[in-house]
Amino acid sequence: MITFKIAGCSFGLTNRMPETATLLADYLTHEAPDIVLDPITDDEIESFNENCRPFEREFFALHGRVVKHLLAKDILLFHGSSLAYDGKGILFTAPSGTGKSTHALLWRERFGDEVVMINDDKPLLQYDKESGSWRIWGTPWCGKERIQNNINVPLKSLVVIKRGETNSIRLLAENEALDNLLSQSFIPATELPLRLKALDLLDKLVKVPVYELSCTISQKAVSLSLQTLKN
Amino acid sequence: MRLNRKYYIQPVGDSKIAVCQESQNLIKLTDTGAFIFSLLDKETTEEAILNALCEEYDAPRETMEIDMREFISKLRKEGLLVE
Repeated sequence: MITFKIAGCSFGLTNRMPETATLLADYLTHEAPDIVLDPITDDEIESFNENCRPFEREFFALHGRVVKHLLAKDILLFHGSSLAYDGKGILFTAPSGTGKSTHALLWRERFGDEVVMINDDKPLLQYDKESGSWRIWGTPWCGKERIQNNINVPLKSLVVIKRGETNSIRLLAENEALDNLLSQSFIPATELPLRLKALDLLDKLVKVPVYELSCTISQKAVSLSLQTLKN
Repeated sequence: MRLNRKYYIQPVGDSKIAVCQESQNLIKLTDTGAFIFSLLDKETTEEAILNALCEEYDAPRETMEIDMREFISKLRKEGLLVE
């Protein structure tokens, strides 16, 4: 059995494919697992036939399981490219192909080692009830380029990326922010209690500043998104 | 008429979201929409909904009737009502 720890929660799994352990390498631990998962079934692996490379099937089937367990612990999976700068987290989100990874790349070009990528595709957002604050965590599910680090920092802002002819940024009203949060967060398709839990978390997440950055591929755009960390 | 399924209304920010056990759909509602949704949980009529709206909200009956009929016809088109 391998044990891996994601967003502070450790999972045990008897993996069927050796590649799964390799893909989880940065998250493996010797701790005793909090949760022992049943082995991934043939049906689950089959369901990932077309969406990923053969050696990733178990790894992606695992993703759905882990994300549900974490949701029950106030941890929400969000689609976006995220990085840490000056100890603070920023999450760029948008439908696939809009340029959020490109925007994150421009940050790395500008700030070099001062920027640490958290995850280029699917970071986790953890809500702390007591303080009402959010933390952003790395995950092993990180997109084709596999850009991720097993780190976590306080989440400072969300930036919705929109392609534009010029560069501008504005703070979204809750109602506008919500449309994006609903489409880019992981809300299970079944299991009503978990669906309600995800919506309850979005009710808290919408209080984090959500900006819309209309931008070109440029350092001017980076200067604008940088401001969201300073407020 | 009534809703075809049991919906749960969850406040999210300044909106309300209707969610149900049997469907993946999430339905984003305004305050008034959520109010109408809660009435449609039980068998009711457009007349009864309008009366309830007039008691709850301070707006001209005619305006509310137009908005309500538009909302109901949208729900009907989406197949969310049993009549």
